[in-house]
Amino acid sequence: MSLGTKINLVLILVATIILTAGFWVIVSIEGVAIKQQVKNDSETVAYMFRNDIEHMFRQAYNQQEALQSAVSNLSKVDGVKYINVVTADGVYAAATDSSLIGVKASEETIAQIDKIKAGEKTFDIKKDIGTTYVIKRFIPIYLDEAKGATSLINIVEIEVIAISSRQADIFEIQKLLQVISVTIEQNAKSITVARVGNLRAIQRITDDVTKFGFYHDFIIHDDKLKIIANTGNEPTIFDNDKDVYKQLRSKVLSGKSKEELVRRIHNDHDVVMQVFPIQYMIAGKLERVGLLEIHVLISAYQDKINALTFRMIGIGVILTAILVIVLGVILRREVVEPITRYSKIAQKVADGDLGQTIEGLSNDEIGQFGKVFNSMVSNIRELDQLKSDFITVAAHQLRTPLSGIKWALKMIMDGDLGAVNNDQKDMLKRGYETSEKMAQLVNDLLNISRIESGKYGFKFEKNDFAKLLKTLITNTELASQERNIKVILDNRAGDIQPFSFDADKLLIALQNIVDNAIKYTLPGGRVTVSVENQGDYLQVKVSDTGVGVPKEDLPKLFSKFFRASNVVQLQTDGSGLGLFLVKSIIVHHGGQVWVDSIEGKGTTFTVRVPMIAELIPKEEIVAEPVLVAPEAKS
Amino acid sequence: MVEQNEITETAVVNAPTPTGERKTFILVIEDDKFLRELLVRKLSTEGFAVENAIEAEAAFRILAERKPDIILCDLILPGVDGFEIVRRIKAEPKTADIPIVILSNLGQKEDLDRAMALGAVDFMVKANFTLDEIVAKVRSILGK
Repeated sequence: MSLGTKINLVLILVATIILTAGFWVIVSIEGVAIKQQVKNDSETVAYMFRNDIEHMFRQAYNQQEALQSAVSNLSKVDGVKYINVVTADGVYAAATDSSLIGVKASEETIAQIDKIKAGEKTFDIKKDIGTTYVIKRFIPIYLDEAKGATSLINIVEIEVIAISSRQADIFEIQKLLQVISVTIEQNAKSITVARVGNLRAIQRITDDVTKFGFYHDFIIHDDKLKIIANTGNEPTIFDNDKDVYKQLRSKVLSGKSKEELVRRIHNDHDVVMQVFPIQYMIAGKLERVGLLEIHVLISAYQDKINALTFRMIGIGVILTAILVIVLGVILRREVVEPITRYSKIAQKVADGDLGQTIEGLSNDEIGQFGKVFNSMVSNIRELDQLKSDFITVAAHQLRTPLSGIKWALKMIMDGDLGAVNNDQKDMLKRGYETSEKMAQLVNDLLNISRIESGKYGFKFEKNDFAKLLKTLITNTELASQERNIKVILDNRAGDIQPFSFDADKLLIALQNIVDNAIKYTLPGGRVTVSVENQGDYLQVKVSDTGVGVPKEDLPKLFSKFFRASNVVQLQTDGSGLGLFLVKSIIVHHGGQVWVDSIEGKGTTFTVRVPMIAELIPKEEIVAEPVLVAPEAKS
Repeated sequence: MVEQNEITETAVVNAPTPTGERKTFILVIEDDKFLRELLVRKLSTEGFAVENAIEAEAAFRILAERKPDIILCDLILPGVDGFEIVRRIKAEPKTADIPIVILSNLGQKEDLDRAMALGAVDFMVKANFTLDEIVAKVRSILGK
């Protein structure tokens, strides 16, 4: 995973957590506020209408009082025995004996009422009880005279007694009855008219309040917990309500509780049910005459909270995106890009280009890192230069005396300074050869130092391999004759077309192998150089009948300064650098070199170099400290 | 190996002396005393006229007096180095045509490329060649 991706993921995570936490707090606070708002609004509306309703109740009560007051006053008139006002249901609405109010009328009275309901008009029941005369009159009161029995609202029952049964006294009470009936009828009618009007008004209120959106139901109960009016005008809606809610209403109505609030499900709606008393002062005492019940929809505020939550999530996503993009861009520019840039430069340095410097350093930790890196590379550059200088100077310093020894010995040997005998000549020759080996060692050291610093300077161009082979064999003539070893060239590749290779370097490599073969083969032995085509590669096999390489030494054969255990004692002039050089040169050609050997029988070195330029590595490879031979091939 | 008579021929063509035979004149610039002596001795034995200089100043003094047929020049010298000497010789029209063989114990690719770029005709690493080979090289260059 790239650094940029990691940073972006962390940013998204952090931004999401912070914004989620922040918005959660906002939604919580706002949610409570919204909830409170709805509650306040619904309660305010409820209180407002409750006042109106209480006023109407009060008005009805006052009219009821007025009727009763009229009944009481008229009852005091001489001759009036009693005046009762009965509702169409047969319950006393007003009576001379005020304790009868609300009481069911006697069966006898009910029987009379039934007659009126059946269509009877005002009628009298006269009783002559000797000295006096009693008239009991039943008067129907219709809201609308024309509609008759269907608009019956009250029946007035009046009993009057005449002073005597004289015609004049009877006439007197007849007049009295007339006056009373008119007065009561007036009062009773106005009560009903007001009541009907109020009921309509209340019903309208219960229907209209739904417009506020937060009420599901708005219900007015009377003092018997009967529904007077409710939203949708369904008076029986709570007939089967759960006892717990019924008890709640009773508690408020009875005065045990000021008001009640409970969350419930009603008609599949999640609501808050609130119950308030409808009350007013009667004779200095607060009387509860009904209940106002409201059902506030939870969804009224929950929907708003949900909307707010969705809005917040939306804002959160947008903010996160903006934050991540902005921070991502900044981090990319300030961190990822410099690091990528530095890394590319560091790679070039690692690949051996010490001339690299990081430019445009920022004034921060990364810039500081760049400065340190530059100073580090500069140090390496100095060290590299130092090493280069050291090798150059060392080589120069070693070569100069070597040249002197070599030139001087050669001059004496050649007789330039006078005749030398064979014995002397032989000794001079060995001295000369030693100085030659020393010069070769210096050359090897220089070559290896160049290879390791990637500055060996390979030059690939189309060359004639046959020419190289010829030089190779010619160069072995002196040594092979001296050691009595037969060098055989076996060319199975036929005419080799010119192909791309570094003639000087490849000669060094092959010469090293052939020289080794001659060096480690006992006199009378044989060295065979065979050449053949292997697909895109040219294969050169150098086989000898020499001492061989111990099996345990084979993997280390191509390492620097390594010499096989069986030849360390035998010869003194191997530097251990030759095969390392061979391996480096062949690898640079995109080729392979490996060895098969049986100790005491002989050794075969196999070199394969590509004959097509595409297989040659593009850049000079910095040689590894230890090169291990590839697995032996048959 | 270049034939002796070719050299003589060249010498005759280039600069006939009153005696009818003029020796090929070689300037050797070499700071190492022993190597310088060996070079001078060998070249003289081989029939060349040889002058030697330890450093640049001496070399240019000789150059001002007499134009050599070939110069064998070392690279690491006290004071002005061999590269600078080659540059100056090649910059001066009078001496620009003198073939210069670098005879040094430096031998890295950069040194070789630099010397050849400055106009040296060949580059020989002293430790890798015998005096005979150096003589052969001189003859082969002059024989062209």
